[in-house]
This record gives sequence, C-alpha cells and structure tokens, in this order.
Amino acid sequence: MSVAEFIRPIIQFADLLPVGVCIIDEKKKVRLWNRMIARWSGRSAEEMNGQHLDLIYPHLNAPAYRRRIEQVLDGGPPTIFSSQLNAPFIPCPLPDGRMRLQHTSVIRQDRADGIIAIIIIEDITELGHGIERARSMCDQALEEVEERKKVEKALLFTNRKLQLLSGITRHDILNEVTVLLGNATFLDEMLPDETLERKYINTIIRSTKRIQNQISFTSDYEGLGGEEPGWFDIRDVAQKAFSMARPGNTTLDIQEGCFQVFADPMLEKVFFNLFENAVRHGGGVTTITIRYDTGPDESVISVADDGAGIPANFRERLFEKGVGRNTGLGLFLSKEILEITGISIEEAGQEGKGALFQIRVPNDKVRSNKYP
Amino acid sequence: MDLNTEELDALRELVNIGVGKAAGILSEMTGSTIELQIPVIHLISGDQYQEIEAVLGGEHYSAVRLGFEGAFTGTAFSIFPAKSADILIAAITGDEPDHSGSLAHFHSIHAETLMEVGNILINGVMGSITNILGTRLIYTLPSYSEEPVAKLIEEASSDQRENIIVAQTRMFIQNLNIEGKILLIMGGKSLDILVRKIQETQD
Repeated sequence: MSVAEFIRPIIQFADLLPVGVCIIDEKKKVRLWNRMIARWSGRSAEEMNGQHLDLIYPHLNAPAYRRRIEQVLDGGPPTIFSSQLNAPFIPCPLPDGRMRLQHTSVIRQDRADGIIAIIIIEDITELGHGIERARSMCDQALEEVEERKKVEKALLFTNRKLQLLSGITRHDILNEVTVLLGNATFLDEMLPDETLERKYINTIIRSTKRIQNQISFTSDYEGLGGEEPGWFDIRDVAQKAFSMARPGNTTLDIQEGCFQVFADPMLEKVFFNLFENAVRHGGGVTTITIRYDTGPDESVISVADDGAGIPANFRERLFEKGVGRNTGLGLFLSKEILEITGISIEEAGQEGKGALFQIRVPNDKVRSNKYP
Repeated sequence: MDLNTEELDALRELVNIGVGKAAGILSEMTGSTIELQIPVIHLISGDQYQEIEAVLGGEHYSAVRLGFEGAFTGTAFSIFPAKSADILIAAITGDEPDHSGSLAHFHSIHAETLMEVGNILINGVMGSITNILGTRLIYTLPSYSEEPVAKLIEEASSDQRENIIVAQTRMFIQNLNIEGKILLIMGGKSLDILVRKIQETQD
C-alpha cells in the first residue's frame, strides 16, 4: 500500500478524532492535517498539505526536535514530547493568549513507496492547569500552615510569659492574703462578742476568704487544657477524688468493672467538686453512688447522693460562674473541664430525693478495656 | 542461556552508544549537562526471581514500557527507583523533591515527563541496537506505570520472560546522582538471534 492509499481512507476518520493528527513524509512534507489540529493551530488542511512542517514551524528544526523526529523516520521507536520538557510541538494559542499544553507522540509507518511519521497531539491544557491550580492551592495552604506555626510559636511564648507572671502574682497575692487572714483571725479572737468591731472584722475575713478562693480558682482554670487529654478509669479517678474531699461518714459506692473516658487530666477535679458539694452542702448525704450506662451514641456516668437534692429554681444556673453556696466556681470549672473533650454534665435529681449529676460522654470517648 | 564475556562486552557497548545518544538529547532539551555512566550489564533468567530482586530490589519503580517485534521480539523497560524519579523530576521541572521515597505524590504531568525521559533512554538503546545490527523492528507506543520490577516482568508474555538483560546506569544532572536501568526482556530464541547478530558484527 502506498502512502497516498494509506492516507486517503483515514482522512475522514482522523477528522472525527478529538486529538490533533498530522502525517508527514520522509521530507517532512505534510500529507494529512486533521480538523482538530486545523482548529487549534488556525491553519487549514488546504494551507498545510504539501508544506514542509519545519518551514512553517521552524522550532522543529532545533536539534532537540529534529534529531528525535529523524530517529523515528530512520526506523527508531515511537517518540514522545511531553508538555514540561518541550515547547508545544505545534503552537496552538488559546483565546486568552496562552498556549495549549500538548502531549505529542510521533510514530513511524513504512509504506511501499516511502516512510511516513504520524504525529498525534493530545491537548492536556486542562489537566496541566488543574495541576497548576492544585499546586498553587497546596503552596498557599503550606504558606498558611507556616504562618500559623509562627503565630502558634509566638502565642506559646507569650502564654508562657503570662503564666509565669500570673503564677508569681498569684503566689504573692496569696502570701499577702494569708497574712491578712491570719491577722484578721487574731483580731477576731481578741474582740469581745456582739460588738460592731467584731461584725466588721468577720466581714473582712469572709471577703478575704472569697479573694483566696478566687485566686486559687485562677490557678485551676489556668491548668485547664494545659495538658493533652488521655484515658482515665472512672473508678480510680473517683476513689482518689473522694479521699481528697474529706468525706467523713459518707460512703462511696462505685459500679464494678473498667469504665474509661477520654478527658482532660483535670477530670479528678470534677469528681472532687461533686463530692465536696455533696459532703458540704448535700443536706445529710450518707452515700454517693456512681453508675455507668451505655446507650447507642453516648454513655452516662451518674453521680447520685441521698441528700436533700437541689431546688428546681437553682438547677438552671447551677453551672454558671459565681452561682453556688460557696465560691460558685467549682461546678463552672467542672463543666469547662468536661467540655474540652466534648463531655457534658447536667443535674437531673429531685429536690428532697437527692442530687443526681449525669455526665454524658460520646461513645467514641468511652472504652471498657484498658488495652484495646 | 549464558552470554560469554565478549558477548556481554559487545552488548554493553551497544547499550552504551544508545545511552550516550540519550544523554545528548536530554542535555539539549534541559539545557543542563547530563552524563550517563557506562552501563553494567547482567543477564538474568526470568524464573530467577530471587536474583531479580537481589539486583533490582522489591521497591516500586517508575517504569516506561515499549514492546518490540521483528527479528527479535520482547519488551524494553526504562525504570527509575522512586527516590531517583523524585530527584529527576525536581531537577528537570524545578518542583520541590518530596524525599518520601514513594511515588504517591506524582501526578500525571510528572508521569508524562518521566515517560518522555524513559522513552528517550529506550529509544537511544533500541535505536543503537537496531542500527548496528542492521535490523528493523515494529514498536508499540510507550506506556507508563509505577510498579515493583517483578510485577512489570510478570506482565510481559510468558514466552518473553525467559531472559532479562539488565543494563544498570547512573545519570548525573547538576551534580545529582540518579539511578536508572534499562531492562530488555526477551525469549530464548530472540536472545539467540540478538547474540548471533552481535557475533556477526564482531566477525
């Protein structure tokens, strides 16, 4: 089959293809120029057929192109021109002036009366631009991460300085408060009963104790979220907190078995606050009971006592800062500690039947095996 | 089948000429001086997978494949270990190397670029062999994949897997040391023909 016989039947087929197709002969004369390459290049088949391709596109005479095209025409394997290592094989401008990115393959065909090279040009502009966009987004994200890291570092440094400053200040204030409280107490003991001076000094003592509590609270609050959360066994945490709460005759009844929650390391403080409130303000609490209940989405740790319970009108504001019989900070802090890992707390008891605190833990923060 | 020292030397010479041509083309294209080391040639029997792994390792390679048919028939591969492919892409494109030792971050434009580099290497070697031996072959279009070598070899047809000629070379671009290999996989008959043709050129 001659070159002409080979080309004639494929012209119509080549025009249907979504790629640019050009066939050149041994002298690099164009023998086929399909519709797609005509559209991309702005040069018609009539204009191109019979022309020397490297005269129309002189860059193809550069050694990097010429040698490889000739290698194919000399009988070598098909050759590929990628979009990154080469200028477009056939420059095809886009409406916005940029060039189409091309992936070009050059394949040899032997015919009875000569040799031809089939040049197939794939338009990979969208792919290339998509990758450029992705790369640009990636670079931007990396820059933002770097920027964020710098800010985090600066914040960490500032935070450490503030912690140091507040720690020293707290220590100094507490020292002065202790002196003030000690002296006020001495004065209180020295003054006769039922005098106006005694009344005033007792007001001073109460206020000073409140200041002492507030300062101690700032220390606790500062520690909130300071350490990474971890897995804590409720039984261990509750027993330790109970012993710290000076329970007197009150007993603790905890459900048997391992029940762990993923929480802030200050979790013990939550149980301490609940136990201390029960012992101090519970109205004759004799037993505190802890039970676990696992539902489909969340588990509930119930901390119940057999005291007087909490009045309904007080319940809604129970976890607000400053609400309570003592400092009004304990339950506020407890709620904040639990919220760090998505745990909530509410009071669901009835006045006269004892307090009932329900700690609701999402099931992905619960496990019943120490070494899962 | 075994090749004697003279035959291995002749084969190395052919591969070396091809690799030299490829280095010249790559240098022109990239504008950087690219040198390719004289290749080391091994002949491995296709069923000796342990030996293949010993020479080539079990890691993923960036591979360009080209099938050929004619006086001798087989498959040629140009392969780069992940680390070298990463350095090569960075050196050519200016992209940051990933240093992960994996090819997972490669996208299709990286693959397209590696395909061209691999294609140039294979074409250099195959062109050199066919020119000197005065024979013509029919080729498939090159294709690209990322696989361990054993998997690449398994994909060649069973009659071709009898012999694997491994040409191991190193490419130096801008003081970067990039490892690359050319594999020629062919059946016993094809290797016989290749060796006979090499002998004819030596006589």
